Amino acid sequence: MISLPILPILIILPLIGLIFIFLSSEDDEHAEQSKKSALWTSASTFFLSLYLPINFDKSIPHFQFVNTFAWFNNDTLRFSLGVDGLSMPFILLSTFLILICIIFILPQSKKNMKMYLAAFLLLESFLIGTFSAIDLFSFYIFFESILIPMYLIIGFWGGERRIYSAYKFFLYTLLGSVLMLIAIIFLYQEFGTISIPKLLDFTLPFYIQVWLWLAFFSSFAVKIPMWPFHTWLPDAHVEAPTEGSVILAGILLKLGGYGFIRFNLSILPDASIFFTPFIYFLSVVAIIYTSYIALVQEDMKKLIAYSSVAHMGFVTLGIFSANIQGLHGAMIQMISHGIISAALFFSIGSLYNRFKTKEISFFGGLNNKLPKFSVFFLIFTLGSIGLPGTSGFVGEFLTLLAVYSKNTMVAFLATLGVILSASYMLNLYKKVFLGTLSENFDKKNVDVNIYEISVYVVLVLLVFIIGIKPSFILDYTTTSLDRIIQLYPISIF
Amino acid sequence: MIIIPEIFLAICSVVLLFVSPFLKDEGYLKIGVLTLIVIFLAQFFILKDIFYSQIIFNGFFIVDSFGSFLKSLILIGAGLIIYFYLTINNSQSLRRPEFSIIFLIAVVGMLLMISSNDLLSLFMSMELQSLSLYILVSFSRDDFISSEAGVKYFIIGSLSTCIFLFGTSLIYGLVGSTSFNEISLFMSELYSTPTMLIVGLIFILVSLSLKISAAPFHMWTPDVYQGAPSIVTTLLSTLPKIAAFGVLIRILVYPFGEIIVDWGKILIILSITSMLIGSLGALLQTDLKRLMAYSTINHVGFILMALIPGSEDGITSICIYLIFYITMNLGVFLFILNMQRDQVNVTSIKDLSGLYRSQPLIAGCLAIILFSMAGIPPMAGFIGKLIILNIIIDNNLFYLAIIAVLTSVIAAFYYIRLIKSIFFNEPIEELDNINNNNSKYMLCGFALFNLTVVFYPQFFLNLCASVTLSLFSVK
Repeated sequence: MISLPILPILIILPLIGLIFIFLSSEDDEHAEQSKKSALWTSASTFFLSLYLPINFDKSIPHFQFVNTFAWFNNDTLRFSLGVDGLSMPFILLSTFLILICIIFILPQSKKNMKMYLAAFLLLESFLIGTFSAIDLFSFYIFFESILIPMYLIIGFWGGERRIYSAYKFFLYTLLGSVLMLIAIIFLYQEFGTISIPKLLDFTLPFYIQVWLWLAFFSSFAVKIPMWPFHTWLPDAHVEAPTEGSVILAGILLKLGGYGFIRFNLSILPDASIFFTPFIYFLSVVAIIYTSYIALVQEDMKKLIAYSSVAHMGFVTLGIFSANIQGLHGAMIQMISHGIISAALFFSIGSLYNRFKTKEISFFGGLNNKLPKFSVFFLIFTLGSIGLPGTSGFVGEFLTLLAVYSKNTMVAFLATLGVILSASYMLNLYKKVFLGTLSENFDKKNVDVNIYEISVYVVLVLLVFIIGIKPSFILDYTTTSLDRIIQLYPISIF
Repeated sequence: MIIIPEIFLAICSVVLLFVSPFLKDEGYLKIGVLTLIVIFLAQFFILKDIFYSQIIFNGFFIVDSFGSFLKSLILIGAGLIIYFYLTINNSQSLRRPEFSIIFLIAVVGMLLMISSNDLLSLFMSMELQSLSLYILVSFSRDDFISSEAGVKYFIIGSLSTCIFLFGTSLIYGLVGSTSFNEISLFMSELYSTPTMLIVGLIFILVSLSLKISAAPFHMWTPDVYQGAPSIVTTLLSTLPKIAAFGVLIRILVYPFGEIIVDWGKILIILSITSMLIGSLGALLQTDLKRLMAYSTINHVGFILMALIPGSEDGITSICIYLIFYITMNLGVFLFILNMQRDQVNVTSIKDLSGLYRSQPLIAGCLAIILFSMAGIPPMAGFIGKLIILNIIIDNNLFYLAIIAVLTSVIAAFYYIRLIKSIFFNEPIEELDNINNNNSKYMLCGFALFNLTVVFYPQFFLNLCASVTLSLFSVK
């Protein structure tokens, strides 16, 4: 295999773009030059990241493209980067979503546009780092660093209550992850290694696993977020700018699911079995409870935010059912939610740019005014509901299949969530796009522009591709996930 | 003549004192530059013999690489502070040649503190340091608040001295000597520790806690920090802390190393209360200097935690943390020193509002340093905390580690609040632009240091590990 240090390049590339942005002296709201460099950087990062699937060996469950660097002057403490089937789709998702975010930003103008673009490139670098880190410390460093650009994005370019939301976001996630830091240091002290693949060879006594599991759980449950740790999410979503919401829903939430599979399930299997009923309980509550909350929301972004919590409930169900369908379902559900929720937030962003509001009651009969746009929105709505043929269906179906084989009752309750999601999403579509044209739209409103069309078309294509041929992703992930399942003890739940 | 740096500095300060009356206008600048040169030379003397180790003056002082390392750290800090003093826009009352000279004498005291190998010499040098600091704190003598701070600091300082002397006399009564070597010898021959010895040690610990402002002996810190002229606060928050930690480490590890079980418990209480008070107390502060005082208390708690195991690794991590702590603190204070509106110094948190709009570069640098103080990766502060937590968890003190991280989240809240003011708030009245290029570049330097440490932490680890070796070879 060619030994191109692809992962370090992917991490450093956005930072180079960042330097270019800082070097440009322009200081207006359009910042054309910075936009250009951000576009080039993110595009080249995305196309370079395609190197991963092309050269990826699907038959190997272990980490590939491994690079290690000396960090502390010590053989055990090394920065190591690598990808396996679990992390590779997420790296692609990150580079892809950042690219389309930048495309979506292109026609806009914002205060301090330069810094806005810079924050996204910084975020991209940290995200790729988090997903490709295969030692505990660098994972933690990247995982936490993400807070800094995201805090600035929400707090600086957000809506009215941005400061409160930015605070809440920062402190919630920080509080969750410091406990993980202790667990990480404990693992290092116990085994003398921070390399994740090496940790898989060790087993810990049950009572220690329980504590470590809770420490990791505190971090990822806040991040994903699970009920009742989800309260930061609606606030953060509502106040964040469109692109911030896209990244938040599209990738940051996936960090939680990724962490659950990577740490809780792989390293602490016994405790995972012990806590499975607990997770089932929280997930089912999340699915049903937040769906009901979503039904009564008046703000579109808040609605999507609550629906995210419900969708993530399926992910945790899938992960902790701990069979291959469940993990596949969780993977597909995460990727598909990454695409669909990103698309929905983009759509809401488009509406917001035109009408300067996100109130559902403001709209009505919009399909007369914006016909093309309403078609796109319908497709994303149906994807979010999980209509067969869209990517949402595959994720939910596989998850429910997996849970059904373990616990019929839980599967039954989770299925209710599918019905509920149909009711709130279709309700949203009805209120915004159908019916008589609301009198709020006397002004001339343009239908989608070229930037928006390019973004939406790509997203629609992805929704269908994954929905019709999920093996497109699963081929890459199967061997790695199989290995996790093989190492997992047989459980009764 | 191995104690050359101290002697050299002492002689130079006396010479400068004699020279100063003969300088006409702007005398303070000339004396300041001379002080800087003197400090630079002393640094050279120390670095020359950094790996040399010897007990001198009949066991009154000790020179070892641990001490030399801390001394050189102090001299670097002292040089930077004098440099700040020379480059910023000082108020009229500070423009006196005595400032640099008294500063120099305080530094001599600190250096002697670190090399002390006897309770008496320790007392002497501690007094030299404290007396100079009392003067510095009340240096703006026309300023009511500064004088008040000076009196407060003096009263607490004298109390600390009394307590120290009482502890010393108790120990002397039992051991019959004040030399660390004799105490160590006495301890090693004991089967059970006499209670009086522990009481004596507790008195000494209390006195030193007052010096490092560990809670519950922290009361003076916010008032004095706020009242003292900013340049003096910069000094107070950095250099005396290093010296006092040096003394604390030397006393606890060397003569009293045998009764680690006893002082370990005291340190646990001290560090937990410091972390709690340091993080909770700062939440409602509105003055930047008061907030920095609580932040210092919080950091002190964190550092004390690493001393609890009394191991070599622990002390190495303290040394590393001290380096990072100083760079962070000097960075923030460099900004505070330059914080002016209409040529008048202001220190309220509200004044930070909208700093990003007017001075993006400064705001960015300050934010990096504040994130570092909050311990957010990948900044230097995180590396320091990581290393200390590593030691704590290695010694199975899990509850302490959990308290430490939870309090650091609370502490993160108020650092984040500052960042919020800088970036998100609308400016009320803009601060004066920092036109001072020296300060600008220095601030960038500190920020860059804090940002890049994550790539070469092993350098600090190796450095500090090699110097702490000497501390344990004495035994």
